[in-house]
Amino acid sequence: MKLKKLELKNFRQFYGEQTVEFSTSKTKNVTLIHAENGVGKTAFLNAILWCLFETFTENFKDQHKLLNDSAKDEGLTTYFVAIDFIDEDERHYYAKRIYSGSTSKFMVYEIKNGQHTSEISNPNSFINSIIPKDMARYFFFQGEGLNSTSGKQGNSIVREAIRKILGFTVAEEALKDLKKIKQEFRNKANSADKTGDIRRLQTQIQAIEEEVSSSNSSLEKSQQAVEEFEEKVKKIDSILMSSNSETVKSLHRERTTLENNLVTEKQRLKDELTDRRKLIAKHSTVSFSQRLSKEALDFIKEEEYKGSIPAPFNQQLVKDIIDQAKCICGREVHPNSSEFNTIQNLLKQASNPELEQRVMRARAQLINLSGSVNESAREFKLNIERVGSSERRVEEIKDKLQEVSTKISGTKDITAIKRFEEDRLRLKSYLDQSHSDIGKYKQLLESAKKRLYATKEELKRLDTASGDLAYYRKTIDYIENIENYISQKLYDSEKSVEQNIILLVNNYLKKFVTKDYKAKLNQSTYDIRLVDRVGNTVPESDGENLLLGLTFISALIELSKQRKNASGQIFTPGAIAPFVIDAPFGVLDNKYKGNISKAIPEAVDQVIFLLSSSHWEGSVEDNIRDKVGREFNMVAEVSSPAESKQDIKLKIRGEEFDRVRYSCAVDRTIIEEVTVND
Amino acid sequence: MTTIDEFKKSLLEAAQNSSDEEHPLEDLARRLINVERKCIYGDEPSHTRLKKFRELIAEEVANLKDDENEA
Repeated sequence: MKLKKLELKNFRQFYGEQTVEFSTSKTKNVTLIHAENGVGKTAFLNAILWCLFETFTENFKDQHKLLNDSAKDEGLTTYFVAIDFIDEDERHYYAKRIYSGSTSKFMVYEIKNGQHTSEISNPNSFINSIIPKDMARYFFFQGEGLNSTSGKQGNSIVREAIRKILGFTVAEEALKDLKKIKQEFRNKANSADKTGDIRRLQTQIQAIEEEVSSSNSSLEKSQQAVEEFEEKVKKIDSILMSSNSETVKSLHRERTTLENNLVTEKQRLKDELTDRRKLIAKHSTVSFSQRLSKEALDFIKEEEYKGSIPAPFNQQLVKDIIDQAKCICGREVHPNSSEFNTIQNLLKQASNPELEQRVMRARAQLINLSGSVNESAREFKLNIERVGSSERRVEEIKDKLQEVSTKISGTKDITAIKRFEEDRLRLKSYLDQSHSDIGKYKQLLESAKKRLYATKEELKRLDTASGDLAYYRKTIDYIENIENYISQKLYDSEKSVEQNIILLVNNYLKKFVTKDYKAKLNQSTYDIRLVDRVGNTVPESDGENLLLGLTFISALIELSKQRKNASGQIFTPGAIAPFVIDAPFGVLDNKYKGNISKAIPEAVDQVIFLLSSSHWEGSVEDNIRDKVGREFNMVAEVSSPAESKQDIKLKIRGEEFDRVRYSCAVDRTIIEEVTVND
Repeated sequence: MTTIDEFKKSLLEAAQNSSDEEHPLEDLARRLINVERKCIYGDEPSHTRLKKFRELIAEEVANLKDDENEA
């Protein structure tokens, strides 16, 4: 999309009808609009946003008072903004939002051969198909609105921007609607439930779902807290390392080594405790059956000694004597004789091969168990020694760290160091607490998820003879599948972009600054920081923050452009749009202003800069002049006389242009094209 | 290859993969999100949104039933 022309009538400072034609040239793709503060730069940017999206930037005051004051005094009630634009296929459109009396109307026409064709139905949908409303604030951008991409305020800005560019708003609203519909079906299922079992389980499921959501949220907060505290500790470490005191530096180096050792030792302790759990699993049978196995083996041995195990005579031998009615000594053994009956009774005690094998196996197993007792005892003993040693070592390092901290705090004549050290100790304590919270919430989450699964399975097993009930439950399951699918897509998209956005930011950073800075994204807090060549965080300042902010916005625009034609998207596709930026270079140093003003037009197809003299003066003109296709000056016309007021002029290439004109018929801003002879 | 080229390539590949193997729920997810989009940013009145959601879901659940019967 490229903007061709903007028409304004009685919109805020712009009394009467005024027109601005933008540069659509590929080579000279910059349109410059000069204006001092309060003359109408922000109103101009908001005129575009209002026309296309009926929205405003956050710093635009009195959003309900759009009618120009002079027009209002004359009894007029109509104001409008109209925009001529072309899409990527060079189709030409005219969009107009007009407010008249008490009604507002938005219309879009395609222009063919210079003529308006019939009005496009669903104009809002049409505009959103070209630039989604969520993305608009990044293309029509208030430079003073983005102060930081880091810290408490910054992290939400970065995350929100990434989510808006990916079109999360719509998907998240769809998820809320799905939840509502799922609840409707749950209510229906409850009403159709005769036994009350479904109601009971549904109530349990809802309660566990809330538990999961709450644990997730607490876990996320604790993870963010860890990142924040670690970042603060790093800052203090950096201050201590750059201390003028050699003693402090040396002690801090010692502490760094000790802290690294502590991490290693804690990991070793953790591994040993894991090994102990494995040993218990491996040797528990041996340990708990030790007494029983000993007694059993003693019993077998005793019975063997007595000759009762195995039995002194074989079952087959006794059977053969009975079948043949003849003893092995040759004597006849007649059936029903007293000898015959005695021999037959022997069968009850006679051993068979199966019984013999069982006794042998039992004996082997018992011998094996007795042998393992020694082995398990040895392994347990070793493990107990190692755990004890590791625990002692952890405590020793902690004591040493405490000593170092006390020494640093007690460094003579350096009161500031003491304060930093106290802050550091406090932060470390918060860190420990947050780490402990993370463990707790992870356990809670895992337990809740297991219970949720089990309760859902129980619900599935319930008898659903009623056709209605079966249908409701099937629908609920289906909605849950859809919810999970959309949530997973959102998660995947966000993760994919968060990994890549930093590549884009660094790419722009190379163009914007000559210093060897890099941007680093903290994926937990969405905090973007500048780091120097050796990885130290660059101290925050308004200038560095704005630099990073502009770099981030440029990366977002690039990302949106790349997503424009990406197929397979279920979310809002990307957009190619002009970059209209109000007050872009406010607190930037001259060196940055020059680089950025040069780099932005190279990255974007069409740029409209709204600049005050504080932005313009310095290195901007030198770097941007070759790219300027059209240039305008907003002049404040005021009805009051000049009297002793200073006559301020805009200077462009040695020529002067009015900034203010006094004793005019009405108070208003007029936009005049600037033409400067080369 | 520059980082920017690598990023473009990975985006295109990801898009290609996702379009090659369409998940059974993808079509419905897309349709539901479009209904939502038209109501949030477009000219569709919001009171019809939940109604359309219910219709789309009912249609899909009915299709599931048909598939089960055929099977």
